[in-house]
Amino acid sequence: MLPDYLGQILTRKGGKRLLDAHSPRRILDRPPRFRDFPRIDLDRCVVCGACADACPVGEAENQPPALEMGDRGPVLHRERCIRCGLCAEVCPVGAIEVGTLAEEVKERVVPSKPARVVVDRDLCVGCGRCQEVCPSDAIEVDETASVDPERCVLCERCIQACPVAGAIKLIPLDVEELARRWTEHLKEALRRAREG
Amino acid sequence: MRSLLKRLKGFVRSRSIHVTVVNTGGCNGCDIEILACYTYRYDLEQYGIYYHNNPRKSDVLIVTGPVTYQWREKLERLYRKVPEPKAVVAVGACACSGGIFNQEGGRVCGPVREIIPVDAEVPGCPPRPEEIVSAIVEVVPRLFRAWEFRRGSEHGAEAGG
Amino acid sequence: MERRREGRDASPRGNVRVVDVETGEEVPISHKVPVGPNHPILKEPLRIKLAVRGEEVVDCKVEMGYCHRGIERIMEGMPWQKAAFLAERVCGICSHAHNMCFIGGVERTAEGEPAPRGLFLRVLVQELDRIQSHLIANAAYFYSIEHETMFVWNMNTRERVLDCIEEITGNRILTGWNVVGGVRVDVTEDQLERVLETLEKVEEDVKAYRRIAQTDPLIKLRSRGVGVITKEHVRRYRVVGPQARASGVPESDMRLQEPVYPELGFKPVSRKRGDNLARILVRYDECLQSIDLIERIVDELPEGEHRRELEIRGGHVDHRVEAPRGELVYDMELTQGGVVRRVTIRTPSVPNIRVLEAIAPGAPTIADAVAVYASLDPCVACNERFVIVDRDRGEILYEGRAREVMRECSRTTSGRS
Ligand code: SF4
Ligand code: SF4
Ligand code: SF4
Repeated sequence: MLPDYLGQILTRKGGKRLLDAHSPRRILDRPPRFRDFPRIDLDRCVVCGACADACPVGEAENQPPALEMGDRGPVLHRERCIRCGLCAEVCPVGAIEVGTLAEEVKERVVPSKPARVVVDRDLCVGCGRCQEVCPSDAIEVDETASVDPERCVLCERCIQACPVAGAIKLIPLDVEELARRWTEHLKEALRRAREG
Repeated sequence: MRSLLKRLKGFVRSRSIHVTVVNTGGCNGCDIEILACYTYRYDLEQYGIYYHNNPRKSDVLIVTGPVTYQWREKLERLYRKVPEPKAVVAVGACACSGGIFNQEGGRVCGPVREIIPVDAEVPGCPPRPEEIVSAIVEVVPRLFRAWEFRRGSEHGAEAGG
Repeated sequence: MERRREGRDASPRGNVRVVDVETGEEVPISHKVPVGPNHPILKEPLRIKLAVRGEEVVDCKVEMGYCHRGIERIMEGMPWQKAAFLAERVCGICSHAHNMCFIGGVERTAEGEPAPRGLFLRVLVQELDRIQSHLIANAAYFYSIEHETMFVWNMNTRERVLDCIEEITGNRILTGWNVVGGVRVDVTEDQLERVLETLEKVEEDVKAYRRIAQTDPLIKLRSRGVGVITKEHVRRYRVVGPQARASGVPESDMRLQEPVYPELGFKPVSRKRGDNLARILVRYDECLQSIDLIERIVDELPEGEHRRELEIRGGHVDHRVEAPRGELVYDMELTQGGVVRRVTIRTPSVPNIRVLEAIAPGAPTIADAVAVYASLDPCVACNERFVIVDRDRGEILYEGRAREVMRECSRTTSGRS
C-alpha cells in the first residue's frame, strides 16, 4: 500500500495530483462478476422484447421504463436502471452483457425452447417471404424453406407472413403442453358442437 | 485585482466542502455506500470534503431516495436552509428518477430534480463508492470555483463583496 | 402564561423546576426536543420527540412514516423474478435477509426441494451479510458516543467483508443472489479460499474490537447500565434479534428453525445485562460465530447443482428468517407460477424501535437517549412497513398489526398500503 502510494506521488502525474486534489482518479479494479449497466449490442438484437418484459423497473407517470423498446432494439435509460441483470439473463441471443453474469447464469438456467417452428415440405411453395421477415436469419429457402432451430427465437412472424395456411407452423415440444393444447381444442370443438 | 480575489475565494471554497446527507425515503443502500466513502479505502476527506450533517453549515446536499410524500415539503425547507453557494448531488437511481419505486403503485413523488435544482446525478442502485467519490470530486469543486464569476454575471455590480 | 424558573431544587439530580407564576403549580416538563427527521447519526429519516426536564429525558415518542414508499403495493401483480429485487430494496443493510425470506416463502409453495448446495450458499452469503450489518451497527453506536476511532475501524473491517460479498455475488449490497430453487450463480473453489483468507483478518480485527469494547473505560462509562432492556420489556414489546439476546433471551433466534443451521451445530449466543454494552458485545460475538459458521459451511458444502427448476404451486405462506436485526416475516399469497397477489412484511425494527419509548425516559442525558437509539440498531427503511396514515383522523397507526392494517388499507380509498 505505502510504496504504491509513494510511487504515485513520485511520478509527474502524482505530483500534479498532490497540487490539485480534485484531479480525476483512477477507477479501482472491479471483480469480474460486478454487475455494471447493461451493454446492449444492437447488431445482435432481434427485437423480441423479452428484455423489456423482464425488467423490474416499469413505466411511471413522469418517467420511461428502464428498458424501452425502440425500433432497432431496447433503449436503456441509465438513470432508471437498477443494475439487476435480469435483461441479460433472458435475452435469447446474448445481445445484452452485464459483467460475466449472463454467461454464468445462462449455461444452466435458460430452459430449452418450449416449441419449434417446422416447415411442411409438401405445402411450402418456396416464395421466401418467411426469410424476409425473420429477425434472426434462421430461415433459408432453396426449393422449400428450412429453419435453423438454434437461431430461431419463436417470434412467429414467419407464420403470419406465410401465404399458404399450415405450411409453416409452431409445434410445442413439451408433451404435456401438447396434450393440454389438444384437450383445449377438443373442449372447444365440443362446445361449438353443442351450441351449433 | 478583483478577479484575482474572486479566484482566490473560489479556490478556498473548493478546498473546504461540508456535506449533508439526506435520505428522502430510499432503502439505505445509497446512504451506507456514502458512509463507506469515509473509510480509508475511498477516503473522501482527503479532498477536503467533510461529513457534517447540519444543513445550516453545509455547502453540498447529497440527496438519496425517491422523495416520498412526507418528505416533499421538508426537502424544500431543508434546501432553503443551506446557505449560498450550494450544490445538490442526487445519488442513486432513486434520486435520479425514482428508481424501482417510481412505478405503478408506488407512493413517491418523482425524482429529486423536480423538487429542488440538482447539479449532479449519480445513477446506479446503489452506485459504487468510487462512482460517488468521482462524481462529488469532479463536479462540486468546479461549481464552487466558478460560483463567484457566475454570481457576478447574474447579479451585476452588487455582487462584489 | 408567565413562567418563572425556581433555581435548582434540592433533589440529587439537580433538576430545574418550572413553576407557573399565577397558580404556583409546577409545570411538569420544561422542553420538547425533536430529533430528526434529518438525523445526525443515522442517515435515515425518523423523528424522535424527547421531552426533557433539565438534561433528564422524561418522555419519548417515536414518529415514523417518512420512508413509506408502498413497496407491498408495487409488488402486487409482479412475478417473483421481479419482486425479489423489490423485496431486497425494502432495506439496504439487511437486504440479503429480505431476499432470502421472500424466495424461501415462494419455495415453500413449490413442488420439490431446492438444491442443497444452493441452500448452503444462501446461508453463506447471509452470514457474511450479518457480519457487515453488525459491524455497521456497532460503528453507528460508537459514532453516537463520539468514539470516532472505533467508528472508522469498524467501517474498515466492514469493507473487507463487503469484498467477500462482492467476490461471490457481484455486488456489494443489494446482491440479487437468491432465486427459486437455489442461487443465481455457482461459486468456485478459488473464491471460497479467498473469502476464508479475508475472514481470517476480519476475525482478528473483531476480536480486538471486542476486547477494546470490554476494557475501555470511556466506552464503559457511556454504555454500562444505560438503556437497560429487561426481560419484562422483551416480553411486552416483543423485542427480537441481538437486542433480545443481549437481555438473556437466546430462544429468540429464528436460525434455530431454519433448514441449514442445525446441520452446522448452531447455538445462539446471549448475554444477561441488557444494556448498551451488552448489545454491542452480543453483536461482536455473533460476528465471530458467523465466521465459524462460514468455515463450517465451506467444509461441508455439498456437491452438485446450485439451482433447480421448481414448479410453483401458489397459495398462502408465511415464512420467517433471522435477519441481522431479528425475526423477519413475509406473509404472502401467490398465484400458480409465482405471481405475487398480496404480501405483508413484518420487519424486526418495528418492535425494536417501539421499545425506545419505554427505555429512553430513564436516560440521564439527551446524548444518552440518542446513544440508546443507536444501540438498538434500528433500520428505518425497514420500519415503514405497517405505517398507514389516516388522513381524516390525522393519526399514525403503526406496529406489526398486519391484519388490522390490511383491513384498514382496504377501507381507505386513497389506496395506501
Ligand atoms: S439491468 Fe435490470 S433494471 Fe437495468 S435494464 Fe436490465 S433488467 Fe432493467
Ligand atoms: S431480449 Fe435480446 S434479442 Fe430480444 S429485444 Fe432484448 S436485446 Fe433484443
Ligand atoms: S438507488 Fe437503490 S440503493 Fe439507492 S436508495 Fe434507491 S433503492 Fe436503495
